[in-house]
Amino acid sequence: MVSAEATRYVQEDRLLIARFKAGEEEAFDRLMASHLDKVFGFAWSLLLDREEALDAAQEVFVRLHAALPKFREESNLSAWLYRVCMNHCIDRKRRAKRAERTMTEEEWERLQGPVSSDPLWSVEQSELRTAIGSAVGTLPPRQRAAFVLRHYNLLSVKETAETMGCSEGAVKAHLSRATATLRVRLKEYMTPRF
Amino acid sequence: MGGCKKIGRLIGPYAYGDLTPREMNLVRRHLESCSRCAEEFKDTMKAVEIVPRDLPALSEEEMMRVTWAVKGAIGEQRKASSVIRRRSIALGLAAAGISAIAVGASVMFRDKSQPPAIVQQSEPQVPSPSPDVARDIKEIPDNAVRVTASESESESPTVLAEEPDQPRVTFGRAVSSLMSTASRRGNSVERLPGDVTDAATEQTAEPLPSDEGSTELAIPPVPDTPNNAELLPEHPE
Repeated sequence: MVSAEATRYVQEDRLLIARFKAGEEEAFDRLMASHLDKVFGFAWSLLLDREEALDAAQEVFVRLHAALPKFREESNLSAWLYRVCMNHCIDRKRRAKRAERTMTEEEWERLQGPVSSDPLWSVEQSELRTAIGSAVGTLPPRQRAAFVLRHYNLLSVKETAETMGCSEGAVKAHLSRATATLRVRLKEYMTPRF
Repeated sequence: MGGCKKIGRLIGPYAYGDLTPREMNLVRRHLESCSRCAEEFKDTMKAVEIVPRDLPALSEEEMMRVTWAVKGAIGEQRKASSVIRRRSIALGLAAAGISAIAVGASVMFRDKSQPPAIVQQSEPQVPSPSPDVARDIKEIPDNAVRVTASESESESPTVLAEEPDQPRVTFGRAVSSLMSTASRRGNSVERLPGDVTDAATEQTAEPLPSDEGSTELAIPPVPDTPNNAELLPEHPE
């Protein structure tokens, strides 16, 4: 199930890739401008660190520039970008062997939008954000990737499977386990007080 | 209920609408009849809804920072690849030049040098002497001098046999060298067991008077040449 908008983006990507191959360097800038935000967001959701995510996004686009001359026309650029990003982030985490960290206050505020002036609400939100960050952060890398790609509607199941190099059934299994973990870990925050 | 386990695995994708129409119907019907699975689905939906739907966005400054960093990295890569290309070309040319020199040198040496025979002290198997040597040995005059090899151990033949990397010496040259040195000193040569000369030489040479237990080689006198180095094997450069 690919939306008309998604199809339009895919066609636009193909056009820009063709222009880049023809020697138009500006086409790469436009490709980067249209995908950078989402790639950064995906990297951030896997790394839970803004600076690390910026570095990862930069690396992904450097690799894209090197790969574009041989990029096949029928390939899905979004799927390619997320796949490279996912692998890079997993490698990055493995190399760094950092402990999983939760979202910072600033990151949470960026996600939450306008904040209530009620101090109680603020405390509760702070607890909730810690819990969510912890729950998402403890998901295994591939479960987290599947969850993020679907939860933020970055890719379809088919594209997610292509990105992760697995079957659609495997994506659904990752998604099922991820949501089951979140359900258990966030159970106490599902009361009406929120 | 037997289907609960199977349905439980589909609840996550069901919450995101990621099932096939057939699977969607299957889950929907099950949830209508199973309160436990229905509760599980409700909790799953709550959990999914708690997690924000928006990813953090890049600020304008961050966007510029990443863009310029990418462009800088691409520029560095291009510079590095052009340097590597230039170095590869230079190395290729150097390798081709060295190969050409090596081939030319090998052709020159092949033209100048004789097919060598190996002189080895440890292995007494020496190839048949060249016709020159056989003739020299046959034409031994009466005033032939005897040279004791033991007295000239430090001379070149011994050294040649001990150093495997030394150039290969023709049998004729080695004997001539030995003889010339010995004649200058007025000594006689006593052949040591396993020494340079062998049965092949003896077969071609006329029988000489010899003591028991030691084979003596009668050698014609060689004029004392100041430039004795000419008789020694040439060292390749």
